[in-house]
Order: sequence, then C-alpha cells, then structure tokens
Amino acid sequence: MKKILILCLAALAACYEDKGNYTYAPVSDIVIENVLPNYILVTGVDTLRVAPKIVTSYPEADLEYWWVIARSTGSANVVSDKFTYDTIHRQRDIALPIAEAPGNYTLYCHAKNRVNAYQTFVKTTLEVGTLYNRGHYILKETADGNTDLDLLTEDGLLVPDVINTTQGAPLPGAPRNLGILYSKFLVDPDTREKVHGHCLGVITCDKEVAVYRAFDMYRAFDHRSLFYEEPDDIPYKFNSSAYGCDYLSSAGAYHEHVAGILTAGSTAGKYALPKTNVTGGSDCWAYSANMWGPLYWDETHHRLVYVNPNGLAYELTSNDFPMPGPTRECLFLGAYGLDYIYGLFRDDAGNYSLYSVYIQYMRGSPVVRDIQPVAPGRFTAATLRATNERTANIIYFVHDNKLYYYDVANAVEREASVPGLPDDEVITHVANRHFNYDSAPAFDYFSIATYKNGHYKLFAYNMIGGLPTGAPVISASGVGRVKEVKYLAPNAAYMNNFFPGRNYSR
Amino acid sequence: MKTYHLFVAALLLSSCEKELELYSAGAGLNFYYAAPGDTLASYSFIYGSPTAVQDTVWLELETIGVPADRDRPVTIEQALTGSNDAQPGAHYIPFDDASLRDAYVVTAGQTRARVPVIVKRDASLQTRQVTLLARIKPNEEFPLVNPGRNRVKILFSDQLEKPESWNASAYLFPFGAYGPVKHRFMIEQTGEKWDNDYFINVLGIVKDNPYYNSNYDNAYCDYLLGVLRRLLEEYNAGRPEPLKEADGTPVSF
Repeated sequence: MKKILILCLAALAACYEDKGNYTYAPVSDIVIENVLPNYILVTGVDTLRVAPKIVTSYPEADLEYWWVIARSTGSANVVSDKFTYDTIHRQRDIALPIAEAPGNYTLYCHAKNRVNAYQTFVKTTLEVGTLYNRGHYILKETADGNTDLDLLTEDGLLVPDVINTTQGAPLPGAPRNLGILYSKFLVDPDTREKVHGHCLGVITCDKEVAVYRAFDMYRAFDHRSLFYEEPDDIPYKFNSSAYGCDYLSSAGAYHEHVAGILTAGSTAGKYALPKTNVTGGSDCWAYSANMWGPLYWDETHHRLVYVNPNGLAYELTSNDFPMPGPTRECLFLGAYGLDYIYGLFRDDAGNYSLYSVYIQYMRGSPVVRDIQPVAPGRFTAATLRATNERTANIIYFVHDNKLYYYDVANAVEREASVPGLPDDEVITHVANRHFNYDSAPAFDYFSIATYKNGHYKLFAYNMIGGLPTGAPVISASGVGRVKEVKYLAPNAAYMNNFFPGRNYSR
Repeated sequence: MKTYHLFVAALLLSSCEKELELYSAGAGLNFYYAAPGDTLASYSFIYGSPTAVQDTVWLELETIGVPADRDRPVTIEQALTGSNDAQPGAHYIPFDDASLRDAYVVTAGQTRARVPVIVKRDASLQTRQVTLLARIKPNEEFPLVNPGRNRVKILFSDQLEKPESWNASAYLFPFGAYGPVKHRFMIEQTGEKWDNDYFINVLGIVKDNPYYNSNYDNAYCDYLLGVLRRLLEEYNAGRPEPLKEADGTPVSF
C-alpha cells in the first residue's frame, strides 16, 4: 500500500512547482506568564483581572492577544464533554466583570506575532460561583427562636440571614443540624432535568427539613418532597459520607449514592426507604473517614448504629459492648483521626466510661472497646463537647462556661485558654473544623462561638497541640445564637475529600 | 506517516472524482431494529384482558432502494427452530392468511412499514411458551433481503414471562433472581404489570447497553425494592411457610 502511495506521489510530482521561500528568519518563542492556574470568582460581583507578562524578543507592536472562554454545553450541574468557545477579549490585560452562570470554565489567553504568525497560549480555570456557594455557613437561632444561616465568605464578608433573605422567612423551630450535602441529586426547577449540586441540609427542632441548592439557594426539598414515602420521624442529621448523602432520623438511615458513585444515570434526589429495619436515633453521632459511613446512638433502643457505605444500618456489638447489655446513655460521640470515634457513656448505675469505636481500614465492621472509666467531674457534666479530629488526642468541653479539654491518653481534664475570648459571654459552640483540598484554602481551626444580648461572636484559631494559639484567624459577629458552623467548598469532590483514607473535611 | 501519505494522495487525486451513480441494484427489505435487542420480542396474554382471544405483536420493516409510487406487498414466513415452534392457525394467524393481505404492504412513497402478527390465545399457551421465528421472504417487489436483518423471534404464552431487561446486565438487576412466583407476587401486591413496558418506560431499565434510559432512577428502584421487601415480610408473617418458587426456593428481594 505504501509503495502504491509513493508511486502516486512520484507520478504526480511533476505537476508541482516549488514556490517556497527559503529565506528563513529565526523564530522567537512567546512565553505568557502571570496567569494563575485557577481563579475563583463570584458571578455578578467579581471582576477577573489578569495582566499577563510576555517574555519574547518580538517587539510588542507586532503582537496581538485574544482571550477565549470554553463553556460546557451541559448545564452547571450536568456533566458534558462538549464545549463552545467564545472570544471574549482582544487585549493582553483583561478586566472582565464576571456574569457567567455558576460552574467551571476554561479560559485561554492567546498571543500571536502578526508578522510571522507564530502563536502560543496558556489556559486557566475559572471557578464561577455565587456568594452562596463558598464559605463558612453559620447555623444559628434567631431572636424569635427560629433557624437561619449566616454566611462568612472567604473575604470576611458576613452575609446575614440567608434563609430569611432568599426564602422570605427563617425556618420554624430552633436549629438542630446543618449538613453540607455534596453533589446531591435534585430536579432543576427551570429545565426539569435531574441534576446534582452541592446543597445545604437544614433541620430544626420543630421537625422542619430543608435542602437548599447552595449556589442559588433554591429550596429543592422539604420533608414532604424529600422521600418517595414520607416518614413520620424525628429528623436528626444530614451528612456527606464516603459514597453519598445521608439523612439520619428516628425512622432509620436514609442514604443516596451521589453522582458518579456506584450509580447509573441520575436520580430525582428523593430518598428510598432505609435498607434495614433499624430505627431510632439521637443527636449523638460522628463520622470518621475510614468508617465510610456515620455512627450514631439510638436512644430508643440504647444501641450504637453504624451505617455502611451502601447505606445498610446495623447495631454494633462486641465483648466490651454486648447487646443486649446494660442500659446505657450516650452523652457524646466524636471522631478522632481517620479510624476512631470516641463515645462517652453513662450506665444505669451512674458510672461513666469512655469507649472507642475503631475500624481497621478496609477491614469489616467497626469494633467497640471500653477504654477507660471516667470519674464524674466537669467532663461528664459538660454542656458542650467536641473532639480534636486530626492532630491531638483530646476532647474539648465546656463546663460552667469555661473551655476545658479531656486528655484521652492520660485520662485527665485540663483548662484551656482561648486568646481574646470575651469572658462575659456564653459559649454556644466549640468544634475542630478542617478542610483539605488542592485548590481550596486548606485549614484546621479550633472554632468557638459566644452569645450575649441577642448577638454572637465567632472565632477560629490556628492550633498547637490541638489548643488555640495566637489571635483568631477568623472573627465575625452577628445577630442570633450559633449552633454550629460548616464549610462549603464548590470544588469538593468525593474521591478527594470524603473517600476513606483521606482527611475528611467539614 | 502513513496517514500523511494517504492525505496527500487523496488531495492530489481529488480531481479524479466521478459523479456517483444512483442506486440501481433493486428493491429489498429488512426488519428495522431500533436496538440490537429488537431481534427478540416477547408477549404474554397474562397482562391483557382475561377474555381476549387474540392480540397483535407489531413488526417493523424498512425498505432497501428507492421508494415506489405504489403499494408493495411484503411476504413474511415462519422459520422453524425445532423447539416449541408456534403452530400456524393454533397459535397465530398464518402470515399468508387472506385477512392479512392488505396489512402486509409497504404503502406508496414509504420506506417503513409496520405489519401485524396476530397471536392466538390457545389453551396450550397456559403451560408453555412457543416460538415464532418470523423471516422475510423475497418476492417480486422485494427480491433482495438483508440477511443480517431478516429475522425476529417472538416468544409468547399465556403465562408470566420474564421481562427481557429483568437482568439484562450484571450491573443492573435491582430485583434479584427471576422466578414466576416472585413475579406474580410483585404484580399482585403492587398492581403494576412488571412487564417489558414497565421496565422500559417506568423503571428505565433496558436490555441493551448501557442498560438504562433517561427514565432510570436508582433511588426509585431502591424504593420499590424496599416496598417489595416489606410486602413480602408482611405476606410471610401470616403464613407457616414463606413464599416459595415451584422448586422450593424461598422468594426474596
């Protein structure tokens, strides 16, 4: 075949007159610098400003520039591998007010020598969001005892009363839980397509449930619409776990596989029935990354329930924690590291014990172990408790409006100081909050909130040995009483942030 | 490099292009398969009216060659498989029956046709499934037949049939192993047909890769599975023996 082709070419070569110009000129390179790999911008608010530095031996007068944006033909939440390309600017420096719909875009900066047509380009990613799809969400109780959210953006801007502002009223009832539901399925109200998006799941003590798509605060679900068969339940928690979005209630563990995880096609985002008949629950719960799913206390049946990554809930039992066993009450559950959850229990004789629930990575079920008795004291009588989840084997607690920590290894209580914390205000929230993702700001904070006269103050500190140090790196104040704080990152992804073996982010 | 040679040669030789001639090899016919699995159709009288004595299964045809300005008859015949072949007259109205003559045509100007196969509710269908392998027979109007597309196998009975996409894929079979007792339980307990139409148009599970369509919602299938488990539990709770298939295998979801 090749020979035939060569013969064809040879036979036809006589027709060709070489009019080539062999007066060669050296070609210089054009290097485009000062374009970051990623820009995170808020649509309708931010302006993309880039001033590329051009390294070349060509005179500037010979150069021309243009910028091209690549848009996916899918909607903001529908994955598509097809793109449209638009030239949006024809100068080197760009100052472009962002008006794109929320989503991720690729932007190309081209440079070309008009004289010899030599050209090159660099590309960057535009992550376009709204005010609502990135930042620290503060779940709070309003002055009249209802639930709302404040948002503290990366820039330190406090957006108050997000629910009231976007929905017209706060959610009825005092706040119970806020869960970030990454890549939750829902039906887009405009296109009626089944899509997925990062959502905020809010639960109040009046059994009110709301799931909002973060970027536009569209209320995708209430309690009636969240299920194929609405349960008569007490809702406790929303949580993102290894494979999906969980809803834990007295009716059982509801689980939805998220987009791309063991799931063909899309879903409308409604929950099926719990996969087992394990019912009951409480506000005591924890999630440790290597467990793949949440662990919670069922206060009705006095048992620990584990939900595996396929959504099957079952009771945990062990030699140290026999079932049926003595009647216990769980006072607290909290994660430590990737493998452990600590639980503080009081038995019917009034004795306190600290248990650990341990799982070996990729090995079967979690195992419950009794690790130490705990003498009655400030730790057992605390009003708030939270583990340090990553760097120190301690459990923070608040007693008599002072911060302490329980040193698990040495079984002792110690007082902790919080630099700059107002001492005449009531502490309403303590937590270790952390996030770890390549292109999102990574952090590992001690978070604490206080309340006085209808107003809260929220502080986040860096830590040494698990204890707050230095001046707060985040401080904010607002109206209401803080219940908990969660971080939402629009670019969080399951395989990076929630998969076992990784640093679970919250 | 080879690609480059081909490209250059193609450029140089492009001036040699001749005008294409119109197709003139004659008229032909084949079955129209919207999907590879359309070589097989199944039907059961069990889902229809209990008093029905016959029903229709439709076959799609498409022509080869240019359309004609007249109605053109098509000829279908039964090919024997040697196993449970349907009996003409007893199980279906023969393809050459005079009553079907007008229905077996490609109408003037058309390249597609839909022709009926009239299946009959013979008593024997209550105990066995029969096979009708339909084959296009060349005739004067359609002397050519596409050999790769000239068969459709119709399986029919008067008993429950396993829907073709029940477990078309190891990836998607939410309701577990098939069993006639299980199938009947699903129909009786939910009021749904759980037939091919239900699988395709409600559940969105299809027999061809990727085995689901836009109707598919795994959470809804999970929900139905949960409902069926609960119904089975309630059903078994009032009985000394759990529900079993004919071979003794307990029904489970």
